[in-house]
Order: sequence, then structure tokens, then C-alpha cells
Amino acid sequence: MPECDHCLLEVSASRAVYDEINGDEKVFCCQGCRGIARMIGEEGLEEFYRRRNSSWTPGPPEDRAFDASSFSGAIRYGDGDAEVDMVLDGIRCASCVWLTEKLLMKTDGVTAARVNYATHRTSVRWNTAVTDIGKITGRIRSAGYTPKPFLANVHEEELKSQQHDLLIRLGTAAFFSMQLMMYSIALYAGYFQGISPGTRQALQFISLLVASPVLFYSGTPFIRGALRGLQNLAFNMDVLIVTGAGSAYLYSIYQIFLGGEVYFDTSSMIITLILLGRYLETGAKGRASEVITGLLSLNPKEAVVVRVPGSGDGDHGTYDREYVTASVASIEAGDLVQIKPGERIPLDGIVIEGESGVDESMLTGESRPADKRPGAEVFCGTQNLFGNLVFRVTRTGADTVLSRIIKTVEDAQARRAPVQALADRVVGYFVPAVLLLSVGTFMAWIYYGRESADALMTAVSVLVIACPCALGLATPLAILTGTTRGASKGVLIKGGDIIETAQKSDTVVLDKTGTVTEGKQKLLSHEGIGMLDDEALRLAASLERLSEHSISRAIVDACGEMQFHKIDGFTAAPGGGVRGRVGGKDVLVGSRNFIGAEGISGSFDAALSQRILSEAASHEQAGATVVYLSFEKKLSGVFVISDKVRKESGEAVRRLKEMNHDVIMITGDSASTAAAVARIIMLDDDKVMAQRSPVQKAEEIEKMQQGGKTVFMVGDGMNDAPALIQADVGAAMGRATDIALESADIVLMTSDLRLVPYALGLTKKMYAVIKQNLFWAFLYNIVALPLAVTGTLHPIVAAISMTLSSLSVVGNSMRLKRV
Amino acid sequence: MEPSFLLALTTGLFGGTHCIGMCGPIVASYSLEGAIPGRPGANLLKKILPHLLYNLGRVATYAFTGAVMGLAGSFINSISLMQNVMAILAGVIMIIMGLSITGLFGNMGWLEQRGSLIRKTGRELLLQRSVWKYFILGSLFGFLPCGLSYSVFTAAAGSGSLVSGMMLSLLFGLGTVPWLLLFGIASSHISTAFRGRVYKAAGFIVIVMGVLFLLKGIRHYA
Repeated sequence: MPECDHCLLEVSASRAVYDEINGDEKVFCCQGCRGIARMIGEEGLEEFYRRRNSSWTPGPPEDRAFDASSFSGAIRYGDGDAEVDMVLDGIRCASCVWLTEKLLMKTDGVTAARVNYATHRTSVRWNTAVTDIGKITGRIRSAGYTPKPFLANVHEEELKSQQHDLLIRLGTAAFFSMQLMMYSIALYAGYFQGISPGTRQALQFISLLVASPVLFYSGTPFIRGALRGLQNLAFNMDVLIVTGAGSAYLYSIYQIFLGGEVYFDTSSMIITLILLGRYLETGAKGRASEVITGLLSLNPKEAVVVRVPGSGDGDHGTYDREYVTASVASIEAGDLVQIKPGERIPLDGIVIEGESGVDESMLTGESRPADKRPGAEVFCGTQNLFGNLVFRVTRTGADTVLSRIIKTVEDAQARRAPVQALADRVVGYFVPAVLLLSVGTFMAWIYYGRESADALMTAVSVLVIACPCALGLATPLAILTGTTRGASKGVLIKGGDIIETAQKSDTVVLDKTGTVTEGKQKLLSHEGIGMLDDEALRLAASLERLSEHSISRAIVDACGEMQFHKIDGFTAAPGGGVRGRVGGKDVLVGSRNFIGAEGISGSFDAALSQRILSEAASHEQAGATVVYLSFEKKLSGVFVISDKVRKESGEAVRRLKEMNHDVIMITGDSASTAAAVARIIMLDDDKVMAQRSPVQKAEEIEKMQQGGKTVFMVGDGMNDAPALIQADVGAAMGRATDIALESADIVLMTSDLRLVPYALGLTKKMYAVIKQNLFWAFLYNIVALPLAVTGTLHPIVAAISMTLSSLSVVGNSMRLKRV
Repeated sequence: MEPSFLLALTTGLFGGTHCIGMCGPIVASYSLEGAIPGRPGANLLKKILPHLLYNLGRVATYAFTGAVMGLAGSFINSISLMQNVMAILAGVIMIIMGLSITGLFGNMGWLEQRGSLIRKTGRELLLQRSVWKYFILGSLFGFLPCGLSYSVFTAAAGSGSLVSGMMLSLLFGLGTVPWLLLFGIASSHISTAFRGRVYKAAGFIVIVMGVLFLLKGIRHYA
């Protein structure tokens, strides 16, 4: 059987498609292949067939859905041109890469096109006046490939391109400096052994030629930084570097014409070495940002959208459904998405169908899978475990919880700490002082009769060694490493200034409900009197269903799948209980007083056995609430409801006390409940403040602050807002909800109270590292400065020690990764 | 000036015609932005600057390679038994290469096809935005395998000193520059056949240089 001339698939002669291209007879398996082959022929790209190798899989082009609108967000617009990154489906071998590149470059208006064979990632740049994304994707599709937009994170891309750029500049600087070294050695030799003026000048001119790209290309970041600084009348370290390297360069040019000696090696080595320091710095930043990159990789790019023709929500005829794979970027709120077992959830939403467990550890740190049923919320980035789920999308793009967490971490790293502001101010005075010192050194040396060349070199040494590069690094690097480490453990610190305050704090105030305890009332036990336990529960729940009270909800939640009775005449007595009628019979649920007064005939205590009475008493001692059920005026059930204390809270409090913090618990609950909880977590009675309203909580904190304390408050972010704001540092615990992220300084992403001592420990260590970095940074400068002034330090040695000081700051900051 | 220096310069002047064929289009195609008339920002400086930087880079690399080769040659020469062996060796190699350039004997093709890695790096480099990329590109392409330039580097080694090695290749490079700068004019007004003949002439000069080196080396022993 003949083979298709384009795709090499075998095709029977009767079904083949015939055509003539450029005078040759061709046979194809389908119109698709024929179309592509024609195009290849018209564009003169037959080389494609020659370049194809054994990795080509025979077969016509795949028919994949193409979504043009998904490109809109991915295009970057520049000055008259635009750029986009795409992923191409259908690339089968290197010749496809070649074909696509050639085809794109031949398209009118395209100025650059590059395809990476390994990743199938394509970058295209074009002139917006001549062509557009529609034409470009059209070209690609006409060749049988399906383009999809590549949406990498801006942050990651920026960092990578910054590093790449820096590497090229560093490489160039190093390469040319090496050449320069060789010529310099020749010149030095000539200086001692004699060299003809013509040869010397030739060597010097070559040195000039080679030193220029180092200063003007590799040195561009410094030049730009210096100009920016001077524009704002701020002397920064780039000014020092540029002045040092630049003056060596200019002086050398001057000397060429005077027939003297040149110092291009000085200027180039300064740039090269300091660039090396910068490159290592960016590498450190990149590694510290791995957590962010890791979080970002949790975003799936594609998902299966469920299209239900016609109907809205509600009934879905399973057989009418359409499952379409689409890019996540194109999915909107309200769309339905299907998730299979093992897949990652692409967006925030609410489950409408299916049952599964979801691993949410990357967001909450909880290793136990969360149960997901219709009505439950699912979050972008979490992993579906064993069941199928269909959910309706509620939040997309930058609104998802994951995106907001990432943004918080990124923002935190951009915020300035007061300590950093101090360092910046010091640099602002330091640099002009050093410039003056350098000029002074130069003049002093001339005055004492030294040669102008020597004097200049000494002055340059002073400039270079005083360069406070490490100073500018000290704080940001520590903050960067520390906050990302914290984020990986579930502690989101929103800024450097918070770190300073947090490490100073001596008092920790814990809200009770939701922080120390789980915050939810749970039914601990239920017992029927004169009827089955579950029957008593059913009666009580049927009534409590109509009440909003948290106690009511605890009872109802315990019921699970039970059928409820129908209730008539429901009324609620606030603080006491609820009553209604089931099948004409009176049912009451409520406190002891309520039931005793209205629920039963006869005395309360007489109706209960001794055992129940004493058990109830001990439960109440332990802080639980006991409610009773009466049916047909007879005492019929006892329910114990309690808000459990989290099992880690005790240990967390212990650790805080070990760290010498004063721990105080504050709550709006009754004194007895508060006292009971305090006993469980081993807090003394005088450290408990009960029955405080949200505003009163804030007032208590203010009182503490007036007494000179620095207060670190932990709450669940919702009803503690005033207190959290009043505190010096407010930490919100639990999932990273909107409210928490907005109002708190620190967000603890899980409900484990032990994160509080961890967070405090982390801030203390971060602050220590910052101080150490500043110390080291300064030490180098202070010690070396006198050496430079007296001429003991050659500018190149000065540049080396500068890099060393930057390195030591980087190394010290890396220690935070292990906290 | 030493005769060999003058010859190197002449080699460059003649050989530059060949260089147009190989390197010219590369630079021209990548400097489209400055070259399209009517586009905003296209002016004389923008048109010339890429070419200028490219050639400066190339010359810098030639000088460097010549210096390195000269240095290497000086090491070999410093071994007393090997004195001036370099000159003889270089002379022989240059005669062979010169013969193949003139087309009389041998074929340079195998050498000149080896440059793919360099070309690939060059393409990556061109994605940078700074205009200095042309300088770096030029200094990268200076390493491209080319029969003529490699002959001169051999001469550099044969000259036995860093400085003279550098001067030889520097002058060679400078000789090629006029052609490359005028590449646009050159390619349209000068026929390929003429360029071919001039290139062959350069080959002859290389042979002459080779003979010179050979004689210089032998004279030491004679």
C-alpha cells in the first residue's frame, strides 16, 4: 500500500487523495495532509521532509479544539510590537520545530520566532501594525499544529530572565577580562623589560577595545542604577562602582595618548567581580523563591469543562453532557468543571456532584484528607484523591485562595522593614562621605609627592572597598529567606516591619473560641430517658433544626442521615430553650432551668437518676453545656455539648511559656467555661479574661500596651478584628480566608496552635540574622577602609573582598532555610 | 614594519571579499530594525552601529587568538631544541592551506562546516536587546572556522611571540574590515566571479607568507 507523502501513514490506493505539487505527483491519506504539503511546497520548505528522522510518528495532524480567546491575556505588548509564549501540540520531531520556525519567520510582520524542541514552547514577536495573533495562530494551525497560550507566572519568568541576563553579562565580562589580563601581563612585562612605543600603544588600544564592552555592556546595570540614584539625589552603591571603574577607564584612555601606563584591568575586574556577587545574590533569591514557584506549579493549565446544553443548574441529564478540555485561563465563574481521581483542582468552587476526599495539605497543612460532598468548597491547587467530582467555579485567576496566598508572600517580600530603612539612610550618607574621602586621599597623596597614577589607584581602592553592597543585601535577603521558609510551614508573614515587632513581643493573647478550642459546639454524648438514645436525639434535633443557636446546630449535626419529625408551633425562648409540637405532643429542649420550669411536671432532680445528675455536674465543671429534652411533659433525654479544646493547644501554651512569654486567654464566653478550658491548657486563673465583647477585648489589649507590653494576639480573624488591629502584631489562625488575609499581620494557615511559638521563634531568628548580616557587612568596610587609604590595598583586591562580604551575607541568610 | 605584518594586512584586504559571503548576511539580516527606511528611529548611526560593533568584536577576537597563538609559539620556541621549529611547521601548514584556498589542491570545506555550535550560540545571543550584542556576536564569530583566518593564526604561532602574533592577526582583521563595512555596496556592484578571483589571490599571499616563514625557520639551521 502506498504511504502518504506527508505523514507516512499507509493508505489504500482507492481512498488516497492525489495532487500535484511543484510538478510532482503526490499521494496523501487525507485532505489535511494534502493541505499542509501544499503549503510547504508553496513556501519552499521541502527541507522539512529531508530533515525528518525516525522519531516521526505516521499519521495525519491531530484535530484538537482551538480556543482563540484564551490568548488574550497572554500577549505582552511593547513599543509597536507584541510578544507571546505558546505551547504547540502536535510537534513530533525536530523537523516540526524547524518547519514552525521557518513558517513563522516567513510570515509578514513576524520579527522573531523560536521553538524549543524539548518543551514545545514557542516565542513569537511581531510588529502589531503588520500582523496579529489571529494570523499567526492561523499559520501555525495550517501546518497542523495547535497553539495554546503558555501562562507562566510573571514572577518566575522575571526572575529567570533576570538571572539569564545577568549570566550573559557576567560571561561577557569574564571573557573579555580574561583577554585583558593577557594584554595587561604583556604590558607589565614590557614595562620591566622594555617595549617599543608602537607595540605598547597597539596593546593599549586593544585593551581599550576589549575593556569597553565590559564597562558599557556588562556594567549597564550599575550605570543605570547610578543615574537613577543621582536623579533622585541619592548616592547609592552603584555610584561608587561606576565612579571607581569609570575613573580607571577614563584615566587609562588619557594615558594612552600621553604614552603612560593603562589600568583597564582594574576597571574591568571591578565590574566583573561585583557582577559575580550580584549573580550569586540573584541565585540566592531564586532558591528562596522556590516555595513560591512550588506554589505556582500547583496551578493546572487545563481542565475538563462540563457543558450541559440548555438547562441551567439542577437536573443534569448525564447523557446530554459534553466534556470539553479547555485551558484554565478561559474558564469563568459559573462554569462546571469535572475532576477525576488523582487530578489537581484548577480553580476555587463548590461541589455540586460526586463524593471524594481532597488533600488540602498544601493550603492548610492538614494531612488528613478533607471530605468533599455537594455543597463543600474546593480550592485551586489541592489534589483530588479517589472520587469523581463536578463543581461550579466560584473564583478564578487572581481571586483564588492560592493566588492570594502567593500574592501575600510576594508582597511581604517587597515591604520595607524599619531596619532596612535605617540601612538605606546610612548608605545615603555613607556614599558621599566615601566619595569625599576618596578625593581627599587622592589629593593627600599628590601633596606628599606620589605619582598621580598611584594616587588615583589608591583613591579608586577607597571607592571600591567602601562600597556598601552587602549592606543593601543584609536585610532583604534575610527577610526573603525567612518569609518563604515560614510560608512553606504555614506561616504567612506580611512584611519585614512585622518581623521586627513580633520578635520584640513579650505577651501572647489567645482568643478562646476557634483558636484554643475548635470553635464548634459538638455533641459529646446523648442519652434517652425512657426511650432509645437515638430516638431522643431525633426528637431534639427535629426541634433544634429550626433554631440558629450553635448548641442547636451541634445537636442537628450529630444526626447525620436521620429523618426528622415534622414540627408545629415552634417557638424559641432566648437563653432558655426551644419548644414545639410533634404529632400534637409537646416537645421541649433547653437548659436545666427552662426544662425544670416549663418542660416537666414535678421536680427536676427527682426525675433524674443520681448517676446522670453527678455526670452532668462534672461535665459542667469541665466547661460543657448540658441540655435536656422533655417529651409529653416527661424528662426524656440528656445531651452534653462542648467545644473541644484542640489537642495541640496545651503544648503550644507550654512552649510559649518556655520562651518566656506571658500567655493570656481572652473570651466572650462565661467565666466557668473559660476557667475549664484554661485548666486544660494549664493556664493560671489570673491569666484568663472572660465575658469580654470584641471591643472590650481590644480595650484589654490597650491596657496591656499602656503597661509597657508588646502584645501578639492570635484569633480566628472574624470576631476578633478590633483586638487583632489593636495588638502590636495580630495573627489570624485557620484557613487563609479573605478576612484573615486582610486584617491580620500574620496568617497561620492551619489550625495548629503550635504554629504560634514557631512563628515567634522564626521572627526572632530572622531578626538575629539581619543584625548579623549588617554587622558583617559593615565590618568588612570599616576594617578595609584604613588599609585602602594608606595604599595597602590594590583595587582588585578591594573588589574581591567586596564579593566576599556579599557572599558571607548570602551564606548567613541561607541558614534561615533550615529553621 | 616587518614584511610578514604587511603581508598579513594584504591577506586581509584580499580575503575580505570571501568574508562578505560568509559573515555579511548574518549581520545584515539581524540588523533589520535599523535598516528599514521609513521606520521611526532608522538613521545612519543605527544602520552603521551594528556593523561597526560587529567588526570591532571580530578584530578583537582575532587579536586575542593571535596573541594566544603567539604565546603558545613562544613557549615551544623557548625549548632550545625546538627553536624556530614553529616557524617551519607554521610555514608548511600555511602553504598547504594556501594551496587549498587557491583551489589548486585540497578542500577547506570540511573545516568550514564545523561552526554550528558557534552559530547556535550566536542566535541565542541575538535575543538580547542591547546594541552591544553585535560586538559580542562579532567576537564570537571571530572564532568561526575559516581557512583564511586559521592560516593567519598559524602564522601567529609561528611568529613565536605574543606581541607579533597579536599584530599579525590584528592587521589581518583590520584588512578585512573595509570590505565588511561596505558589504552592502560590495555585494551589489562586484560580481561573484571577481570576488572569487580576489579570494584566490589571497590564497597566493598565504602561500607566500608560508614560504617566508619556512625560509626564516630553515635559515636558522642553515
